[in-house]
Amino acid sequence: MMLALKQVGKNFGGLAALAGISFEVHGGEILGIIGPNGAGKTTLFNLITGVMSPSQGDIVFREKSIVGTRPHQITQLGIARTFQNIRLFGNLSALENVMVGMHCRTQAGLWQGLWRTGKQRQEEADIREKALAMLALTGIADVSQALAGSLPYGKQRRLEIARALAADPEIILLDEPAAGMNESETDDLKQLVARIRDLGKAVVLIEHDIQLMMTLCDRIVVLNFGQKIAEGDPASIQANPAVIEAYLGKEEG
Amino acid sequence: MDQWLNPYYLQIVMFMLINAMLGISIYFTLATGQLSLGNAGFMSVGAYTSALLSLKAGLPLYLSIPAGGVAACVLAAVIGIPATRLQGIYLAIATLGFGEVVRVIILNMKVTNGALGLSGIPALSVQIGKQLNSLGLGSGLGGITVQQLSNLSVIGLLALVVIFLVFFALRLRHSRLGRAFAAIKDDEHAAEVTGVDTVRYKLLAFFMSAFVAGIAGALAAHITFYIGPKDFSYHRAVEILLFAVLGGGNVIWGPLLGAGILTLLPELLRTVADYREMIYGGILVIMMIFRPQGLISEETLRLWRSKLFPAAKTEQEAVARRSAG
Amino acid sequence: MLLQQVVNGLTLGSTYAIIALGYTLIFGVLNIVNMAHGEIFMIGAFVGLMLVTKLQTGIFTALAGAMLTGAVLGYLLERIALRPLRRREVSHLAPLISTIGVSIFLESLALKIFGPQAQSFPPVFSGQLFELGTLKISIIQIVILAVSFGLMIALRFWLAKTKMGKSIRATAENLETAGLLGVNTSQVIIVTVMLASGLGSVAGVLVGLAFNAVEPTMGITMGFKGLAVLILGGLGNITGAMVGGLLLGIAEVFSVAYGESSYREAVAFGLIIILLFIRPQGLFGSGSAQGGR
Repeated sequence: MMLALKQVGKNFGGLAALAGISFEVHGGEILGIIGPNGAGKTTLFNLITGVMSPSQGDIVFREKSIVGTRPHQITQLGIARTFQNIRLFGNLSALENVMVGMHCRTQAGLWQGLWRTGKQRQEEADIREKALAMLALTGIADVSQALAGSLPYGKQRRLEIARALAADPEIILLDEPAAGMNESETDDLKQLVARIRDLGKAVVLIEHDIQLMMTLCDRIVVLNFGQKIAEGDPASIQANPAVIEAYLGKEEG
Repeated sequence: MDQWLNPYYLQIVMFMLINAMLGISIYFTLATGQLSLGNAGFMSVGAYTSALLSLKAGLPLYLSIPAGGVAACVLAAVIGIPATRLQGIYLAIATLGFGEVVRVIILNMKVTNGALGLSGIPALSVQIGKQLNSLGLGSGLGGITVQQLSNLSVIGLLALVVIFLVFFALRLRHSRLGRAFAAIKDDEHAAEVTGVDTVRYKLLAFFMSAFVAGIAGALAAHITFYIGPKDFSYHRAVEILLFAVLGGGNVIWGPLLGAGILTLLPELLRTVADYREMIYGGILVIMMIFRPQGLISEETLRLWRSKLFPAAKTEQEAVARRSAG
Repeated sequence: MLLQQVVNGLTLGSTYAIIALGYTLIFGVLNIVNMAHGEIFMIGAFVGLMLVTKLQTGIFTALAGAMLTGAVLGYLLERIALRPLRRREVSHLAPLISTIGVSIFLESLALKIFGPQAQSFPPVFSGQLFELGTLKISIIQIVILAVSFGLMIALRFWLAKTKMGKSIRATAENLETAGLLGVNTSQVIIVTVMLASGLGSVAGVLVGLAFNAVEPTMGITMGFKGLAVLILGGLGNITGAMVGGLLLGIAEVFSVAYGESSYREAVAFGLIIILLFIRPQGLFGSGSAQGGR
């Protein structure tokens, strides 16, 4: 077990967006999180990455609580994420975006950057090489010099994944990576996620495309109205009456 | 020769270089997407610190001027630690308020001589002149008087500082820290989540900006021999902002161009001098409407690069060279 | 004596509150700090002064004239320096910078027209003193208190009850949603800026009366205080602006009475800097966390 959520809750002005959520993420698995709109999926990511603090409960990463840790420190510890609405550094090149992703794994300071010491040049060369490798992995090496803001939508999604991977995380959180993609792009994405898992990383995935989730995920957690209503392998989730009701029983939850 | 080396022209060049430093100082905070309007305040701290240290404590200028920069930096820590938690508008107002507090304090302190200001501040050119004398150049060099020679030396010194700062800024842009700065500027939240310690780098940029403003203020004090609280009012803060707004705040060349234009224009055109503030105000509004990125932007640079080096082959190579050189 | 200081503080503070209301109304609707507000305030003071001295009008005519001028200036400000920036994607700092431009433009314009020296209202207006025991209140103070509290109450009522007031509040809540709900947001924006500027100009006349001095640089000093109150009360918070203004007025009067009078001008920002350490969202602001969406 790498990451464990223990009875995690989050209130917004008296309203509980999440309550009593517990689940674990294991190394090298693909964990899907599904649920109707407003179920609290993105809030969950915000809690794990330290963007928000939970109102109740504890989040434990590698035996240590990460509640109250700042987002950049959590990234350094080994949890990286992408955003539901893409948030790239639009005025930097694709390559530079990925290079920023490696920030927390590199050291060079003001002084070394100013005088271009041997060590700094070595590090820059490493960063560049690894960043290019990430772009190749995500299949966008051809646009490494283009400004991130000018890339087409699908490539921006991939670039965000490349940037998150550049931090060399043990867990990568993907927030609706297939949103707005066509069928062939979605297929490519599926392969990419599997490849990331094969690198030994855990992938936590939020997606609306149930079909995609059923074929891709090892396990699935289902949220509804801020509560966990089911957890298990895809087959058991599909057969779970609570899940069926959440999705079909009531209009839009 | 004499015609060109008259003290008036030389002084304009000096002011241009000082303003260039101030432009660079605001560039550093803008590089992380922060708008700080406290640079006039930091400048005054540097100016008064160095002036007082040399005037009252007899400290040599090569120590008092850096001390001015350090003093500005110390104050930046006091204001910066809460201020960098603030974003956008809060920071602009807090730094503006900081400048105002500093001005009121200076206005009321005995040691700063209140509203009258400090006069008879040891002159940089005189100090250099003495050095030249001791080098046996008391009678000048090749038709240039020792006074001109020392003024030229001051200009040389200021130019060196500016060149170093530009070099620093260019190197910074293509280093690990510079990328972090640029990331924060583009999307602070995303930068934080990507693993960049945004608070630390915003603070670092704030310190660098304060230090440069403090140094510029200290140098200015030893060039004009007189400083008063009026020199560091809201208008000075706006003027510094204008360097970046007119020239362009996204690339280091922008504030330099802005400082150059805005120092020369009032000297060249009488009307500009008469209606200076009105014209400045107009420029701010017009630039925001028609060209918010300033005269020089990254795009402008790319365009020039491709014109100057038409053989610059693929864009990839141009970028590779940019980051290597 | 204490009560006297409180009354003096409230008088001063009520004018600060009116200035701050102008800032906060515009911030609420547009998310912009209007840096030219102080100068509109100053022009209002001059218009009031001119009406009284050149046209021998009464004080209430002067207040009305100032308000009208302020509203016109607000209209021009919105059309020239704000609206063009809304049309396209620019940095959120752009309106801040363009209104700084307007502020120094107006200040130097006033310097050219009126000269740098302070001018005062004719002695008729220095008024008589009412004595209630040991408490002394001048007629000017009563006018200031009545006008500013009257305006505050009227504004509250107007925002709460009228259709336009409700539209303004809806727009302040969320501009896009308000637009979708059929609120004419560009009309709301222009009315808000005109209203804020009108209030600012009235405050100008009141402050001119209170200090019996009107000068071009008063826009900057008073504008800064309004900004201080804006932060003190929390950006966009109307109650915060009112209470913050009164607090600042009292704090200043007390710092003069019991402390170093020459540091009076620094009180406002001293307060802010302390506050920013403790409560960056202002006294009445609510903290907002930035989420991932």
